Amino acid sequence: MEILSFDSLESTQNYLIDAVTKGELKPPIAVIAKEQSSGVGSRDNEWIGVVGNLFFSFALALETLPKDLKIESASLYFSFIMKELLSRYRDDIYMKWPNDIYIHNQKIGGTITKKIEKNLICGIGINIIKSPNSTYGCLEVAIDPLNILQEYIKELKKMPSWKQIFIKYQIEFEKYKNSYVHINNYQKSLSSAQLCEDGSIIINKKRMYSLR
Amino acid sequence: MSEIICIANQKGGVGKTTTAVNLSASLAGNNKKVLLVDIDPQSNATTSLGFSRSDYEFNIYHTLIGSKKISEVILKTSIKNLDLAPSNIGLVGIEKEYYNAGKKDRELILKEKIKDIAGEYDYIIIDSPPALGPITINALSASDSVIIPIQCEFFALEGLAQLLNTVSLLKKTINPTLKIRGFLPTMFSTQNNLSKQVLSDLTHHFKDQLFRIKKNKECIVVPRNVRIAESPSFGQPVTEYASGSKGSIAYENLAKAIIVGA
Repeated sequence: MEILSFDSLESTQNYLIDAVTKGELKPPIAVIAKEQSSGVGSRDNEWIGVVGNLFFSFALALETLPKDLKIESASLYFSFIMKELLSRYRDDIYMKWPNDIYIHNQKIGGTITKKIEKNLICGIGINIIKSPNSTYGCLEVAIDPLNILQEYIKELKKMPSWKQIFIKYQIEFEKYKNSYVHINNYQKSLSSAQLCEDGSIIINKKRMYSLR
Repeated sequence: MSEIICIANQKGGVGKTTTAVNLSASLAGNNKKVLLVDIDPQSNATTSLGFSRSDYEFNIYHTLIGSKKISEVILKTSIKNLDLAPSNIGLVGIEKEYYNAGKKDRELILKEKIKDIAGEYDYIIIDSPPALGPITINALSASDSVIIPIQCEFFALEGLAQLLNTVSLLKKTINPTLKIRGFLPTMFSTQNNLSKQVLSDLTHHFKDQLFRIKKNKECIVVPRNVRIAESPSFGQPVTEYASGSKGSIAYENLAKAIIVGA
């Protein structure tokens, strides 16, 4: 997978969505920036880009994805692969449903995905050396973000099945079931949530794929 | 009082019976009084200790339905300090009893029956069937802790989340003191990258719940070992059949880790 590197972008995700939509770039392709000025996070939140942290997006053709991977499960899938990779550097990293990466009780990164015609554009942001504010945590490991992206692409090439990822994720979900998430601005415990085979949860009799 | 340990995993073929039999024998070899309760209708633990169906008239089924006390079904094995409450295929019939709508406290039947003899043994090891059904629920409800063998093969962790969820639910409801004693990697092959990956995954998820002889030492794994596979056909635990083998040593180490509370 080719990697396009930039010193600065408003948002790797918006850049790549635009380029793929216009046909200027074709998957598989990744875009990384040393800093972002208007990064996009989950639920359309901002993801502040501090230099030295990791912000990248990649595009894959839908037909190249695992046959058992549903689009709704893609964020969880790609996020978990990143979490597993980062676990080589710290063993206290975990994933909180649906696809946020945490150390202790602080979010250090997350994933967003968007389907554009026959392609999937996935954006991942990880605080590696510094968090932008006290709300978020960071990996605190001295590693070049580009190296992490290169390692991540190696893991993507293995293209594990959804089942392989989900089996491990189920254990993660079980371990951190006592955590809380914000759903529609209400704090809810996951302890009574039932995890479904596609990564969605049923909570208060409602099925949810994300925190929106 | 006995420490009651259930060997459980709803996946079949992961080494539950092998672990139950060989751990029991190893504990007995360390001068601990041990009762192995075979609560799997397949009764492989019973066979592994050299008993055939004609060797006993009554088994754990009769205890669970109330027609015999557990002390009346217990057999002395050829191994010093090790007794056995045998099983039989007829045990599958207990599930019908379990689903009897009028049955109260049906999850606690085994727990009640074990109470009669709990003080006579240092350890009671329960070999459970490969299912998360009524029999395994009874076994977990009766236990102080559970050891979960994990076969180092493809999809090793499949179903583990469900088992953890069940343990968690039982803790919240009928057995608040139930804890996970540890995870035991089994059928580990040093020459197999998949085995190493599974062990790495287990270490990542459950680092503090793998057994070790000493802190900061390598975790105890049961290797893929032909002597372990052969020993049941001779009606012996591997610790008797091939005491110097890698499989035997692994279970002896597990017993030591259990005894010191590691």
